[in-house]
Amino acid sequence: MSSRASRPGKALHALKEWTLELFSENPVFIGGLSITPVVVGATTAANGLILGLAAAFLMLFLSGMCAMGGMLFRVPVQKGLAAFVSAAAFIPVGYVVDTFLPLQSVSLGIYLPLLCVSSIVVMKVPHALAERGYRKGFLHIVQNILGFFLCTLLVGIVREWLGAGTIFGLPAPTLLTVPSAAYPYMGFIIIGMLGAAAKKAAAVIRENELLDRHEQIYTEKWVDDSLDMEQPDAAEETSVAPEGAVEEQTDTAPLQAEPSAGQERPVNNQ
Amino acid sequence: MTLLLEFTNTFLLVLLFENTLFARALGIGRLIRLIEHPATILPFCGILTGMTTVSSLLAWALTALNQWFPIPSFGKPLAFVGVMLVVYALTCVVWGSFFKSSYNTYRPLLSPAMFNCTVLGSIYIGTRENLSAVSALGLGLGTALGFLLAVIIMYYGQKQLKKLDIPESFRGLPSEMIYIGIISLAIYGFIGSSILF
Repeated sequence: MSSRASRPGKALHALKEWTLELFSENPVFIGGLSITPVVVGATTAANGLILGLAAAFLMLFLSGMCAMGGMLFRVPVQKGLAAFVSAAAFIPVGYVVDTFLPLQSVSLGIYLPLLCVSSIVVMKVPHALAERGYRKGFLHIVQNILGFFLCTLLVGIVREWLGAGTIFGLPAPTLLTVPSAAYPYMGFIIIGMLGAAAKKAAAVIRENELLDRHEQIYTEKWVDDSLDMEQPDAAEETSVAPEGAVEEQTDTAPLQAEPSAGQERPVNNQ
Repeated sequence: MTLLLEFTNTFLLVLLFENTLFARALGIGRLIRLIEHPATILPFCGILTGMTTVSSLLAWALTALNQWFPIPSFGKPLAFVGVMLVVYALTCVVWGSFFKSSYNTYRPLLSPAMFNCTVLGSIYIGTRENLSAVSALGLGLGTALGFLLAVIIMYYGQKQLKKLDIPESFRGLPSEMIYIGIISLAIYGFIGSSILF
């Protein structure tokens, strides 16, 4: 019964779970990884975008190197090697930001290079590949990349909107501005608030999914029971006792002529 | 006397007013994990103190060489992580050779204490401010002890938070972030907006 229901929706369910985990297991809001660059660096939407893209590049590069390096990244110095590799990968990132985005480079300060040693890069990537294998580990890394990107972008947008009344430099409607939104203390508070919102949203979605799943299971059981009830002839022949079969055979002849009466019998027996 | 004043000035500034955690948010993730395992707080902070102090001094030396071998800004993370790797390797060799039993006990804390935002952040700050060797020493010590101070404050704060009737969504990390934010706000009340990031 359950296999008949889960086969077509299995892939969709897995995708829904994976998407839900972007919020319920967000690496920053829930896991507490790499909060430092988000708190101080993501003061505007542009900064948040740059941080998210830089972290994505570093994590993808490191995961590729870990996959090629294999056992090398399982030794106790894996964090150091991972930090060195990500610092090497940072060279093109730093060059592009310094050359083409000088304002954002000054605004981000030391917090963009700090991504090289942040826990989401040097800890999460090697552990994910070592514990889950390459395929599932890579999917987990992509999930963390998207989760971190969403977090930095969201925090940057909120802080720029609160602080300057703009989003990506474009005016956005607002009732009031809070200029201190760019300071680290507001970063902590905003991350705390957004983390609570993410937890609540994930809990509500899971609760609704659970209710939907219970309803689906109940509906399937009702359908299966109805299907079983629609096969009365096979049920009648198997349910008649052998001892009484000779006597009842004479009785069934008129019953067969009257199918409506015969159809009612299994219902009454039940 | 001048050297002592210079050291004390930098040390107290970084310990209190430009606290590693509350003012610069360096090492938040590590702090969250440490307060859940209080037995590892002192050993971790002891190792961190050594790492930040030695790394700050080596980075100061690297900056002195920068005059002859300039390092572009996008290459600095690689150079500084290289310094951290050298310090890590030396620590493992020296500690493992002379104090093997304690090395085996605290080895799992070595790489988290070395490769984190606190150490790299202190190196960056020291090299950017063009500090002297004595000030770099004060910066390294002050960074690690400021981290220890922040961990102690957060540890007892978290214990009090657990006793309160906090809504389910705010339990754990969200309430801790708001708590850190309020303490950070108090520190910014002292220093204003003079910190350069």
